[in-house]
Amino acid sequence: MLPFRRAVSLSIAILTFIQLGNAQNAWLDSLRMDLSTQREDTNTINTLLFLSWSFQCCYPDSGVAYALKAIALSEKINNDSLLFSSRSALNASLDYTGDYPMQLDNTFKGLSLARKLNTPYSDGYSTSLLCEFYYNIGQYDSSMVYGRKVAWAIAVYDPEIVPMAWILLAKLFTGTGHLDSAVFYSRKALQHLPATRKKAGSDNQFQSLYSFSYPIVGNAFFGDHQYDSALYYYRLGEIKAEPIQHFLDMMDDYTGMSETFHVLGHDDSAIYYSSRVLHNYTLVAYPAAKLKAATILANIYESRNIADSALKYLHVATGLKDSLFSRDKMIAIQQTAFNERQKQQELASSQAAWQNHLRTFGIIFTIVVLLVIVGVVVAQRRKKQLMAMRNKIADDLHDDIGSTLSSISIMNELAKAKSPEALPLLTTIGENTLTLQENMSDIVWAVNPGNDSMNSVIERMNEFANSILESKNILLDFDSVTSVSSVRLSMTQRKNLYLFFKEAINNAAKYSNARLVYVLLTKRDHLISITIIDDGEGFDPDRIVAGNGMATFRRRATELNGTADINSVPGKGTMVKLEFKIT
Amino acid sequence: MHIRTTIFEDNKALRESLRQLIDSAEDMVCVGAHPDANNLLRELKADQPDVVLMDINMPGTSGIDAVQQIHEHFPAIRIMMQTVFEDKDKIFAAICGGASGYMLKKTPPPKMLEAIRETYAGGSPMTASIASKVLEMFRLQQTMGKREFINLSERETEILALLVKGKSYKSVAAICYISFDTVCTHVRHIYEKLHVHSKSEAVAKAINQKLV
Repeated sequence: MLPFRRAVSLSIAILTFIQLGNAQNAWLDSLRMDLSTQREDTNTINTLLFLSWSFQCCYPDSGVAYALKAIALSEKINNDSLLFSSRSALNASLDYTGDYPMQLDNTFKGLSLARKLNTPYSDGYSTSLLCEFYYNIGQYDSSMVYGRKVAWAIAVYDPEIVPMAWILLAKLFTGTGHLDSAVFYSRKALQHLPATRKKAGSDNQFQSLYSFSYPIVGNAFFGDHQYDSALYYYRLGEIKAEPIQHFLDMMDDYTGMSETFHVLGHDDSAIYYSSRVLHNYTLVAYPAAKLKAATILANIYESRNIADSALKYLHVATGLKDSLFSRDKMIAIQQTAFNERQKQQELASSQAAWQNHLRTFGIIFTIVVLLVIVGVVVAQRRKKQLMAMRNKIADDLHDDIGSTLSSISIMNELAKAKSPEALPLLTTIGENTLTLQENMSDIVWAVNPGNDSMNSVIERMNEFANSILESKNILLDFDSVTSVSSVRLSMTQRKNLYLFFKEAINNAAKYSNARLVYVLLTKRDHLISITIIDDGEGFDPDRIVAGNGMATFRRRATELNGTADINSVPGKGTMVKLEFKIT
Repeated sequence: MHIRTTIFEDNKALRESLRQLIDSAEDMVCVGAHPDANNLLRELKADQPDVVLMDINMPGTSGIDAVQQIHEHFPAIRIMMQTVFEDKDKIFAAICGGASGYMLKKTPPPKMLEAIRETYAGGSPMTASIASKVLEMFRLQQTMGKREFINLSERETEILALLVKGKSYKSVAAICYISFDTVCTHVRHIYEKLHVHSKSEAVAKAINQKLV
C-alpha cells in the first residue's frame, strides 16, 4: 500500500522545497530549532510541510504529526492553497500509518477544498486522494475509476512525469486483477522513467522515483506469476531505496521478496526477509507491511508445524489487523462515507430542483417575451399599414394637384399667345402657379424622411442655387465641411434651413447684381452654420425697409432655435448667416 | 418635319393641355394621348411616335414597366419621363429601363417644349439628383467588387461628380475644359451604359437590390 501520489507531489515539492535527500538528523534538528524561533506565517508552514514530506518515506507517524501542525497553522492564517498542500501531505503519511478513518476525513476535506480552489492541480490531487483511499481499504474498482482520472490529469498537465502515471495504473491493475495490463504499464513506465531525470531535479529525487516504482513493478510481476522478474525488481528496489533511507519502500521490497520466496518454496529466505520487516523497523509506523510480513511468517510456521511461532505471528498479525481494520474504525469509515454520499445526494437533488425551477421560469419568461414581441410586431405592422395608406393618399393628392397645376400653367402659357392684351394678368397667374408648384415640391421633399441627411439638403440647395444663379450669370461657389455631411436633420430643420437658403439666394439673384455667390456650410461640435456671401451692391442695413425678406430670415432662425445675421456694406456686398444647434 | 409625340398621362386636365401645348408648337405634333399604359404596344403601333412622354405614376401598368416594354419593342422611340415627385429611385429605375430623360411637372411650359426637342435630338438631360444616383450605384458596385451593372470611365465619373453638385452642362464644360457637346456626348454614353441593362430582369434586380 504505497502512496503513488508521492511522485506527483514530488514534482510540486521540488518547486518549493530543497533537497529531499539524506535526512541528516543534525540538520533536521537545526530546522526544528528554526521553527520555534520563527513567527507563524507561510514560511513556517512550508518548513512543516517539508518536514512532513521528509519523514513520510521513513517515519510516517512523524510525517503525520508535522502535517497536522501545518494544517492547523494554515487554517489559522486562512491560506487555502497551503491548507490543501498540508492535507495532501497528511494523506501521504496516513497511507502508511494506516489510520484510515482519519484519512477518509482528510480526503473529503481535501476534496471540498479542491472544489473551492478549482485549479487543475488541486483537482488532480484531490482525485488522487480519493483513489488512494479506496485502494487502501481494498475497493480496487472504485480506486481504478479515480486512478484513471489522475493518470489522465498527469498526462495533460505534467506530461514530463507521465511514467509515474503508468506506475499508478500498474499498481491499480494489480489490485483489480488485470495483471496483463499491470505488467504492460510497469514495463512502459520503466522504459520511460529515465526521461524524467530532468524533471526530478537532483540525483536523490530521481533515485526516489525508482525506489518507489520498483516494488510496484515487482508486485505486478508477482501477480502475473513471473516470480523471477518479481524478485529481480524487488532487489533493484532495495538497491535504490537503501542509500536514500526510504524505509517504507524497503519494507515493501522485503515483503515482496518474502512472499515470492515463499511461493517458490524458499521458505528460509522468506522467513529472513519477513523477519527483517518486523524486527528492523520497529520505529516505523507501517502496519500494513508488517501485517503482510507477519501473515507470511505465520503461514510458513504453520506449514512447518511450528505451532508456537505460528501462533506468535498470528497474534502479531491479528493485533495489526485490528489496529488497521477494527470494527469501530470500519463503522466510522462507512458512516463518514455514507454521510458524504447523503450530502452529495441532497446537493444533487436541490440542484435538480433549482434547475427545474429555472427551467419553468425560463419557459414562462420566454413565452411572455414571445407574446410581447408578437404584440409589438403586430402593432408595428398596423402602424406601418396605416402609414403606408396615409402616404398613398398623400401621394395621390400631390400627384393630382401637381398635374392639375401643371395643366393650368400650360393653359396660361397658351393663353398668353392668344391674348396679348391680357399678358400682365396671365403673367401673374403664371408666376403664382409656379410659386405654388415650387412650394409644393419643397414640402414634399422636406416631408420625405429619406431626405434627412445633410447630403440631400446640400444637393437640393446646389440644384436650386445653380438654376437660379446661372440664368443671371452669377457664379456659385458652394463649400461644405466634410463633417457636416453625416449630420441628420429633422423635418423642421431641413425645411427651415433650405427655405432660409432659398430666400438668401433669391435675394442675391434679384437685388445684388453680384458676380459671385459664396456659400459655406460648417459644423462645429453641435453648431451648424451656413453663410451666404455675395459681392454685389449690398444695401444700407439701417435704411432697409423691413420687408418680408428680413422677417422670413428671423422666422426661420426662431423655428430652429438659432440665430440669423444679416450684414451689408453698400458697394461691397452682403452676408447672410444662420446658426443653429443640433443634438 | 414634325416631332411625333405620344402622351401617357392619367390626369385628364394635364393630358389635354399637354396635347394642346405640343400641337401649338410648330415643329411638333401630338399623335396620341392615352390615360394609361395598359394597351401600350397596340397604341404605339398605331401612333408611330418619335418621342413619348410617360407619366411615372399611373394606375395599372406603372410607368417604369411601360418604359421597359417600349425600349424592348420600339428601341428607336425616345422616352421622357414625367413626374410630380422628384423620386430619385423611380426616375433612376426608369432611366435604367430605357428612358432618355425626365421632366418635372413643375417645369415651365416653354422649357417643356425645349426638353422634348432636346430628347428628340438625342440629348439626355441629367440633373444633379440622377447624377448622384448613378455615381452612388457605381460606387456601391465597386465596393461589392462587381462591375456588372455599369462601367464608367474616369471622365464620366468626373462629369457625374460635377453634375451631382448641380452644375449645368455649360458649367461642367467650362470646368473640365471641354466643349458643351462633349459633355452631352459623355452624358449620353452614360445613359447608354445604363440602358444596356434595360432588359426586365436586370432592371428588376437593380430595383430590388438598391432602388426600392
